[in-house]
Amino acid sequence: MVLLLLLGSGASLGSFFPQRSLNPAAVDAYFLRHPALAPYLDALGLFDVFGAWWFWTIALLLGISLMGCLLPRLRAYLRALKHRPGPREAGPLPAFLVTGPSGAAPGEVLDRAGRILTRRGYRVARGDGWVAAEKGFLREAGSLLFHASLLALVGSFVLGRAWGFQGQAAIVEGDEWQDARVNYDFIREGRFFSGRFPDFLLKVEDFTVTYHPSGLPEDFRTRLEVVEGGRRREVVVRVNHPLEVAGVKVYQASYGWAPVIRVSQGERVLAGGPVVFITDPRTGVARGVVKVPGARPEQVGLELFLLPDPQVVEGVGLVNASPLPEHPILLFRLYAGDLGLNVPQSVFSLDKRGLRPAGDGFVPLGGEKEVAGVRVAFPELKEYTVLALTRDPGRKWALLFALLGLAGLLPGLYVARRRVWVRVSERDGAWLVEVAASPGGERAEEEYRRVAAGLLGAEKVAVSGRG
Amino acid sequence: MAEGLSSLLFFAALGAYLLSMLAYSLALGLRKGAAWGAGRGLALVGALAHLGSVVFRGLAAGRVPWGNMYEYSSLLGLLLVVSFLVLGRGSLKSVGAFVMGGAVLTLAAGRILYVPPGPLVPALASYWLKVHVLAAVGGSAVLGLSFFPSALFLVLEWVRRRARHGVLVGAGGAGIEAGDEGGLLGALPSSELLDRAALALVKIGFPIWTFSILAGALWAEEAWGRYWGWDPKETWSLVTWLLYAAYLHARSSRGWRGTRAAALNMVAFASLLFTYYAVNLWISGLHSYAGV
Repeated sequence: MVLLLLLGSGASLGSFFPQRSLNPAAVDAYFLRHPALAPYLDALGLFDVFGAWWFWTIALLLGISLMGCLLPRLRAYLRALKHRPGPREAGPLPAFLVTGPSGAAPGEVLDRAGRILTRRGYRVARGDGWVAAEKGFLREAGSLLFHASLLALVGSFVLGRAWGFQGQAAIVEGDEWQDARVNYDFIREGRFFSGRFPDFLLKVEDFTVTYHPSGLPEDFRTRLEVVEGGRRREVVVRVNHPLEVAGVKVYQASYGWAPVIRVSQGERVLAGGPVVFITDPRTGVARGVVKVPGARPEQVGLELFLLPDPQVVEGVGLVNASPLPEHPILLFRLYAGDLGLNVPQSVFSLDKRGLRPAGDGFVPLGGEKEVAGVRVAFPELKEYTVLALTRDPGRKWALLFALLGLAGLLPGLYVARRRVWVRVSERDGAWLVEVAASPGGERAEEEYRRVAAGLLGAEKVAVSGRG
Repeated sequence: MAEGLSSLLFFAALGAYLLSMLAYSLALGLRKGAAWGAGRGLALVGALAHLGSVVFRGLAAGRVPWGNMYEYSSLLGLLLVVSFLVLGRGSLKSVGAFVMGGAVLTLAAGRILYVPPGPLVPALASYWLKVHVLAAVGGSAVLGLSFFPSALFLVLEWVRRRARHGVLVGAGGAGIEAGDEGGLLGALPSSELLDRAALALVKIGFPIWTFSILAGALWAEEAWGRYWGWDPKETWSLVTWLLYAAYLHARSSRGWRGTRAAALNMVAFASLLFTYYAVNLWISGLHSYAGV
C-alpha cells in the first residue's frame, strides 16, 4: 500500500514538471528560466519521470510484492478449492450464532441444513453431527485475476514500447512516401525494435480540411493509396479513424501548407517544388524557408510567410482572416551571403550569421516577383499531411489484460465470502442445534438469519442476535 | 431556443438544489420528518429540471451534452444528486445538506466556465466520447459522493473527542457530551454507518472509474496512436485510481477503519478534484483542447 501511494506521488510529479517525452521545448524553456535549479532536477529525472530509474524501481518493487503476494494466495486458493469445508470444533466465536432445541432427529436437521445451504449456492460438507458450508470463492478468484492481469498489463505496456516504434512523417499532396527509417521526420524506436520496417508505400492523393461555419475545423482527411506487397488499395485516414497496414497504425496527426515555390536567376531554375510551411495557430500565418546554395555570385536564402486569406485591417495592417485559401499570397525577405550549410541545420530556419537582407517582396498565387536579380514564382498551393505511424506489439495484450482485470475486479469487490456451520449435539437429554457463521455485513447477517430461520423457525431467530 | 431553455432549467435546478440544501439543514436542526421529505422532494424536482437542462443542451449542440467543461460540470452535478437520491436513500440523508451544497458549488463553478453550445473539434468527434466521458463523470459522481460521509465522519469524531475532553477536564464544554443524543449529534448517523457508507460508495465508483480509464486508453489508441502516453490527465486519473485502490486495500487487507480510512479518502478526493479541475485549467496537455 505504501508503494501504491509512492507510485502515485511519483507519477504526479510528472505533471508538475515539463516532460521531455511530451514537450521537449517546455523543458528547454524551463532550463532557461531556472538555470541553477534545472540541472539538479534533471539529475533526479524530473523531466523524464516516466523513464526515470526510480519510477520504474517503485513500479518493479510493487510488481515484486504483488507477485510475492499472489503466488502464495494462488496456492492457498487452489488448496481451498480442492478441500471440502471442514467442521468447526474450536476457535474464535463466529459473529452470528443461533442456538435452539430441535424437535426433529439430528440426521433430518442436518439434511435440511444441507438442502437450504445448497440452494443458496454454498458448497456443503457433511460430517458426524455437523454440516459446514462455504461460498464466495469467486471473490478470491476475481481478486487474483485482477491483480495478475494488472501485472501482465504493465508488462505488455513496457514490452510493447520496447519492441515498437513511434514516428511521424510530413507528406505533401501528390507525393509518395516509402516506409523506411530515413523517411521519418521524427522517430523513437524501442530498445528492442528489430529495425525492420515493413516497407510499404503511401501515396497521398490529397488532403482536405472542412470547416464549420464558425471557422472551427470540422474534419481532416487524407486520401491515400497504400501499396503493400504489390497490392494497392485506396483508404481515407481521418482523426479517430486510423489505418492499419502491416502491423503499423497510421494516424492523422497534423497538417499544413506546402506552397510550390520556384526560384530562378535569368533562365536558371535554382529551386522548385513544394516547401513545407509551419502554421502559427494563433495568426493562421504559415512560415517557411527556402535555401538556394546554387545562386550566383552569393548564396541566397528566403524567409517566406504565407497568408491564405490576407486582409488589410485599418490600424493593424495585413492580417490573415481565415484558414480558407481565398487569395493566398507569399511575403518574403531575401537574404544574401553564406548560408552556413557546412554544418547540419534545421530546414525551417536560416542561419543568419553570414547573411544580410537583400530585399523584400510579395507574390500572389500564380504570380512571380523579381528582387535583386532573383525571381520568385508561386505557381501552386498544396497542402501536406502529417501522419503518425506507430507499431506496438503489446497493444492487443494490454487490451486483453485490461479486460480480464476489469472482469476480475467486479467479483473481487462484490462477491462476499461466507461460511456457515450447523452442529447438532445432545445436551441435557435433548437435541440442540447451533448455527454459526463467519462475520459479514448487514446483507450477510440477513442471509444467515434466513438460513437459521429455515432450520429453527422464524420466531426463535428473531430474538437471537449476534453471538 | 433550446439553449435558452437549457439555461433556464439549469438555474431552476440550481435554485431547487439551494432550497433542498436549506431544507436538509433545517431537518438536521429540527429533526422533523417533513423537513427531510422537503429536502428530498426539492432535490428530486431539481434533478428533473436539471435533466431537462442537459437534454436541451444536447439538442442545442446537436451532440451528446458532455463535450466541454461547462457541460461536464453540469452533468457531474446532476449525477451527484441522482446517485445521492438513489444510493443514499435513508441512511445517508443526514449528509444531504452537504451533498446538495456540493452540487450547488459544482453547478456554480461550471457556470463560470460557460460556453455557448457548439460543435466539437474533430479529435473529440468519436463514439468514445460518449463512453469514456460518461464513465468518467459517473465515476467521479459516486466517488465524490463518498467524500461526504467520510468528511462528516471526521468532523463528528473531532466534535465527539472535544466533547469527551470537555467532560474530562470539567470545563464548560460539557454541553455536548457523548451521551447527549438529543442534540445535533443524535440527529446524525453513527460513525460506523458513515464509515461503511463511504466504503460502499468507493466500491461502486472504483470499477466505473477503472472502466473510464480503460475506455480513455482505447480512445487514445484510436486518436493519438498510443493507449497510454503519460499525458497529465492520464497521469492524474491514474494517481486518483491508485489512491482509491490504496483506500480499498487499506480497508480490506490492513483493516483500516474510521479516522485513518476517512483521511485517506479525503486525499483521494483531493486528487479526484485535481484530476478534473486543475489538470484542465492549469496544466496544458492533450486534454486541454477539450476547452473549458
